Amino acid sequence: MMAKPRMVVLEDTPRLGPENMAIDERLLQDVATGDLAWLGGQDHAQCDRLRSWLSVSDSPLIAVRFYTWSEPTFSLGHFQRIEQLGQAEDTREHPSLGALPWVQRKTGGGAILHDRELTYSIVVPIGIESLSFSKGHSEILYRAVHHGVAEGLRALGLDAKLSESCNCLSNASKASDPFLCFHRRTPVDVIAWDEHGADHKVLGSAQRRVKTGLLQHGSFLIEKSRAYPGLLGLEDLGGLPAPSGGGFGGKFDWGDWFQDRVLLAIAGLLGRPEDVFRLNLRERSVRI
Amino acid sequence: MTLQPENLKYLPSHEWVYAPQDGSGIATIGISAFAVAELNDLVYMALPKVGQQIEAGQEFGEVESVKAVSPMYSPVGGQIVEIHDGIVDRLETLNSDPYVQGWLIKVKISDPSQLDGLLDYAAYQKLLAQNG
Repeated sequence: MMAKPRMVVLEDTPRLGPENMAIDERLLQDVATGDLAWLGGQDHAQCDRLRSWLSVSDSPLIAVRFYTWSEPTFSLGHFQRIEQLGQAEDTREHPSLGALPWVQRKTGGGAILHDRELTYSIVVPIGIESLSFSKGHSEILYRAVHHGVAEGLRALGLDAKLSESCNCLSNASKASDPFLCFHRRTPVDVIAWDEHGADHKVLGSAQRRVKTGLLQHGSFLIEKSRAYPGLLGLEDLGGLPAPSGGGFGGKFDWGDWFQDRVLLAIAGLLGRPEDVFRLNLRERSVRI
Repeated sequence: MTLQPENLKYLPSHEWVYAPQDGSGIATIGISAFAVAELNDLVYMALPKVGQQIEAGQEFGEVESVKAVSPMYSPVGGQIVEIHDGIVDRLETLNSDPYVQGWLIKVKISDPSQLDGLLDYAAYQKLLAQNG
């Protein structure tokens, strides 16, 4: 039987797009070997503490990172091109979007406007669950996280569930695909209903598989962005009971809530981790 | 020997190679029916350029399906001598025929002995059964 995994939980400071993506790519590169001491940055004591923790067990390691972006930024799916922004039906009438910085993700899917949202990444090495054999996505990981978040939203009083429907892309139709991830709909996306009965996608994720592991990125939409107010976030839907309603910087800490839901979902899927190392990367200079 | 699943060699990561004993040293490479089924809805694929050198086990391309990007690995090393023209715009071909019509690249094999280390059809089927 496989040993219980250990988990590194990273709470990060807002960063620019290239740095955010580089950290996730480095995590994907190193998680299988457990060589994550670089996360300690220039804090030698922290590096030693992390190195010591990493060395006491051979159990597989999972890294989970929660982060935001220091300025509104597009992250494009791996096969997307920025030129599509001016061509796709959902973005071509918004030329001001072209002025925003953008970065390419290693994961698939559509573009995300990282503004009033929370981003997470999960990096899982080969050998955990059935990842070593499959090709393509790990639906079990998508479903676990998304189901956990949808369940939590229902507990808050929102009407939310997995989409279980699709405007699925195909090779034949990709020219007419929406540019934005939150305009696309796949069966595992989390959708929530507003006061008027319209449904909105509030959580979407995408994955990348490599020989040594799998990266899952996801975006949890809290509020609409001023740069693209057409996509509503949770706080825009109405019907959220107290203590929510504060949005970013408000009374309700969506960051803590989201972390709890994601970590609980991973524990439900892979078993409660043998040990958890929490690292706050805020004000820490990480050398990637 | 013809290009049929029973005559191919496989990687555990579901790429196949067809290397006829015709003296050409040219191997044809693709991904198995199982891989295509796992990937489900193929949306994008990136393939290398002709002339590129590749090592056995090295990534030769990427495929996206249902928002997941996955690498494809070469079962053999050598020089890429042909890319299946237009296949990236007709990925549905892989669903209907991942072998004859759905091949991806051809490689001039640098070391034929690499074929010996690959799974034959029976071993690959056993692997599928074990993990299915």
